[in-house]
Amino acid sequence: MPEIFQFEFIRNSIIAVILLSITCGIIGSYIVVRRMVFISDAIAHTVFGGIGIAHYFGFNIFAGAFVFGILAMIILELIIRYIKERRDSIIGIMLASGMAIGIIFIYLTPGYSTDLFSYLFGNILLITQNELIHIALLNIILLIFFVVYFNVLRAIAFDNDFAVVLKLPVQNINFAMTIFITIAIILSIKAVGIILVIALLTIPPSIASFFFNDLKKIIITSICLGILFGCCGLYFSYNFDLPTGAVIILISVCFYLISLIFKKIKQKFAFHKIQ
Amino acid sequence: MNKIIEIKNLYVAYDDNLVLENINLDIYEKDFIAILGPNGGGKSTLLKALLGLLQIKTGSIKIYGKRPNESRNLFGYVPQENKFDWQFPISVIDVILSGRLKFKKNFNFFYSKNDFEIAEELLKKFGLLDWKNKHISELSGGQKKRVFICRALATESDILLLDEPTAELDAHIENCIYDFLKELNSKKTIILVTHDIGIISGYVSKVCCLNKKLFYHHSGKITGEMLQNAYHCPVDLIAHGNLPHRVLGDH
Repeated sequence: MPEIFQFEFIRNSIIAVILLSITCGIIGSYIVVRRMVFISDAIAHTVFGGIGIAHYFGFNIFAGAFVFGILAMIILELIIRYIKERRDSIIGIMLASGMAIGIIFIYLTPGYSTDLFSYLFGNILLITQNELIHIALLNIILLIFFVVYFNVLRAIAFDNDFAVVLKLPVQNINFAMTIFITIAIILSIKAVGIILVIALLTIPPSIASFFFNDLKKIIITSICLGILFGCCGLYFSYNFDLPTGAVIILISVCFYLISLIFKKIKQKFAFHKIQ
Repeated sequence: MNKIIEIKNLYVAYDDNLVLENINLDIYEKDFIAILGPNGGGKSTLLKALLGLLQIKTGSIKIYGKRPNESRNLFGYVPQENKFDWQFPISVIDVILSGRLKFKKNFNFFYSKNDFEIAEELLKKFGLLDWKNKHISELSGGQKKRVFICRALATESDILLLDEPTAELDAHIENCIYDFLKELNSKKTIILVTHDIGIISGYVSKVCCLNKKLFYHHSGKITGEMLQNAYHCPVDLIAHGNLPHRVLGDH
């Protein structure tokens, strides 16, 4: 066995990369094709408020983040429905408020600085066995949900009104997806942190959608790409002693740029062929 | 003929802005009714009210005697296309199959062999079979329109509801779409809204004009008076393409 696999934390990190790639491949594809990237980023930043409050009062961090994230989404929906302000402005204000609340509460808690950094930037090497079990459980539920509701999810995402007219359970499914997105983000924060989590969710599906026009293929490709980027990131960060999350994201971005150029060249070539 | 839709004293408002005012309209089985009106005249609002997608202020809508949010799945709805995200990863056949979800329940949302046969039958009828597995964005405007009509037909509804079915299409394709609709009309009730007045009269059985209020003439003819009421200005009554001018009535 190569030296790198000797340590338990390395083995755990590899398992984490694989499990999180499945989560982010499914959820990420959904938010990319539904153009929900900005709102998902807002969830990631907003839950920091919940993390701060839970930290200060000594609650379970996950529960704090989850309740805060869901409450923020409900408040957002209500504001948009009844006050009719500009959606993106409200989202921007909301994510800033969440961050501000989180920073203040973590500041008030003794020994704040290390914790602040671990939430903002994450550390996949510190992932615990318990957290791995949580991610695995989420993946099982998510897979069952997506297999059962795949056709409905796609119909709603493509044409919400039509799905309502068919009397499909549109509201329940949209709400379930909000819950899944929130949980997936909270669990991924441990690995790459609040600031980078949106990249982990959106880069693999964005690359996959360059090459495939089918939601199933985009999801499967995203999962494979996630595992590839994650393992490469772990390897480089171990060898060059760099922060893992940031290395994973940078590798993903490099692949994204290469794919983008490749796609453009392919398009140009196809265009010349037609001419 | 059976009365299937009854709209009585309908008022709809967005905030303080009254969009529909005292609308009364009866629609009978196998009607082919066109609702004309300028942009912003409340046409889409009326369709949404019929589908139960928005709150009614006062008045009532009854569809087979039931409220819209109970009976909305009786409609085959063909929406406007400008709201779609054409980058969304979905193929032509998957769009049409989604109409079959109407019949799914109890956690079984998988498409059956029968669903595929119905979808392919529709594709064949509308000359789209070669495009079956193509991505939706690869189709032309007229083909996309046909796909959405196929999706509405896949729901096997007796009433078709079309929002601007010929917007941004050229006259020839427009006529093809109306020929299709005319053929469907032998079995189904068709309700369509459009801002384009230079069309349809040769095909539809009833026309009404909508601009906040509804102006209705109990026939397939558009009169200059109706249009003037709806558009608040004299409207040029000249049709384009090979559509007969005479159906527009005396003016």
